[in-house]
Amino acid sequence: MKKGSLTIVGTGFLVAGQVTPEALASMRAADQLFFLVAEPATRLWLESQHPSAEPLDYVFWEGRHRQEAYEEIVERLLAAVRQRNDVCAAFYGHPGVFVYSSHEAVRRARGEGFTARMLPGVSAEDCLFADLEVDPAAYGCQSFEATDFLVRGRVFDPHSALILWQIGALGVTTFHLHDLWNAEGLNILVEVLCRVYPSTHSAIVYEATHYPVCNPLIQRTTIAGIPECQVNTHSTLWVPPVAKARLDTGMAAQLGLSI
Amino acid sequence: MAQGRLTVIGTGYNVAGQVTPEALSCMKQAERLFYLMSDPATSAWLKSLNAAAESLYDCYRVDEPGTAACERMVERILTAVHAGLEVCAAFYGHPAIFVPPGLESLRRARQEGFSARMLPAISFEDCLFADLGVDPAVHGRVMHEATDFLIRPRIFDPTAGLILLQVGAIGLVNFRKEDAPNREGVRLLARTLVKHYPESHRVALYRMSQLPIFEPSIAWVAVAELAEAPLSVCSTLYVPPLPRRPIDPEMLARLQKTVGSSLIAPLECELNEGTEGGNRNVKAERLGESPG
Amino acid sequence: MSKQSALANLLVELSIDPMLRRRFQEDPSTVMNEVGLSDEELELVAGGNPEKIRDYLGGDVTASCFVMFES
Repeated sequence: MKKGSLTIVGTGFLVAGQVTPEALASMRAADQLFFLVAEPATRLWLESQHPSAEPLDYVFWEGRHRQEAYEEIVERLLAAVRQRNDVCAAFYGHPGVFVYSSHEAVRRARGEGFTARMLPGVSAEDCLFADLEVDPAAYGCQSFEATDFLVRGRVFDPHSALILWQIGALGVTTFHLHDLWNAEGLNILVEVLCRVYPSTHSAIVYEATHYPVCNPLIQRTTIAGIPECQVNTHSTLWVPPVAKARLDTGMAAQLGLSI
Repeated sequence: MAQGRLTVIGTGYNVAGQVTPEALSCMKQAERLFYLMSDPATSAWLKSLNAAAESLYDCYRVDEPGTAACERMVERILTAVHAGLEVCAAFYGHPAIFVPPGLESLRRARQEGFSARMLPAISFEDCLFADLGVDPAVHGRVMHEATDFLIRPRIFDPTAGLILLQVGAIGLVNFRKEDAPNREGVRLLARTLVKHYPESHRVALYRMSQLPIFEPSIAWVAVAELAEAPLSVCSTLYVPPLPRRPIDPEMLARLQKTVGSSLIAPLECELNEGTEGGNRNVKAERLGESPG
Repeated sequence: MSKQSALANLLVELSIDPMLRRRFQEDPSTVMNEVGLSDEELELVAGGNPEKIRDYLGGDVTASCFVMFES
């Protein structure tokens, strides 16, 4: 292995409260630390942990093509690794969920003969399961990005839980600086969901908190009530299962289960 | 409200390395710390952290269903809460994910008038995404406990990633001390999966490394050969997505029309792979700002 | 530029210590006085509005680092 390495870590969602010890150690030990975080208190804290912490958010600007921005992040990280440095890049939440460039950076660094790895972080789903107190494995769980769910006609079963990410950004395909939400688009989402769920079926619009002095935003509603909720770009929809799916008694018998 | 309080936390999968600071703080300050860990190193570390640490492992009885053990664990936790103590219950991984005593003790505590909450933690999926280089946002993700997946068949989207938890423990209901995976269960699983995927579709049997001296175990096999692959009761199966369906242009156009009037509908340049630079300038102009 | 402040420090401390968080919820003024928050900061914390807190802390951190679905 060449000298120079890349470690990708996550900072979770709560300033310093969800930064794992292995992530913190990687950040402090790095020659160079890059970061992309969602709010300033985390940034301030990161800057206090490393003398030359460098932000990555300059790659995003209003209307910029997404692929360009991600490519720039990958290149910035690789350039630093190629200088034989131990590089660490910190992304908020889990660094490999809704980030794109992180996995690519690891692949490319390895491809060029460098050691590279990603450490897991607390993801937005981890916060959702804890705050809503739900078990995704109890009935099974299906997660999709909301626009993708609609435009690719995603197939799903109401007997498993359904999670839709970014319901506030339906139809938006480039980066935008300000919080935006597409209220009318939510009506289309409701229309699609009502083909499968009763309109009165419960649904929760959720947003994790970034601050220990603010509560998570948990809006309990119905499928039909979704458009009336406060929906932001980081809003997530949780739809519980309608019921347990029917038992395949033949399969259960083959497994020797008596249910 | 009575004085006893309950916080349920998770320790992730790397001894002390994946324990969040807020969870660590809880465990140290608890007047009673109950724990259920999957490896002795983490158990030993917890005992060194808090003198009042007590393992829940002995709630299991050999050849008894796990549900009975869960009941015992919840009882033990609630007894301490009733005694007015600051109680912390620590489970490996994320305490909400397939850890029945985690959520059950929360519900019971609250029902009985006590304050209770859960803190998020590193889950087995978090480790899988990091070790396998998978971003679930790209194609979507469907997750099931493996036995549940088989005995309660459901519609699922094979163009999303599929994650099946505990594939080595299919049909195993009773507690056993040894790692004795059920290959017959995996055979049945493989037969089910080949109805949805080509026989040659490569899938990964994954186990995270639970000690910092080990690498994760990742074995890629064709789905038809799943039953012969190295297996443990703790194995997780990752099935990569089939090629995804094309975008429905009508639905996209409908959504685009609804995007706020303060924004430019950016559709054409993205999908038609036009000259991004040129389009960016156009957008910036219409927004009334200079580019960059 | 992000502003280093008593509020930022308090948020870090509260984030890593849920017991302190609870002590804060039960008796916010004591905890805040211990840390020495300004009047403006006291108001922000009492308000519990994350957007206002974020704006106060300032900095050129992008408000929405969100990721679009892949076309």
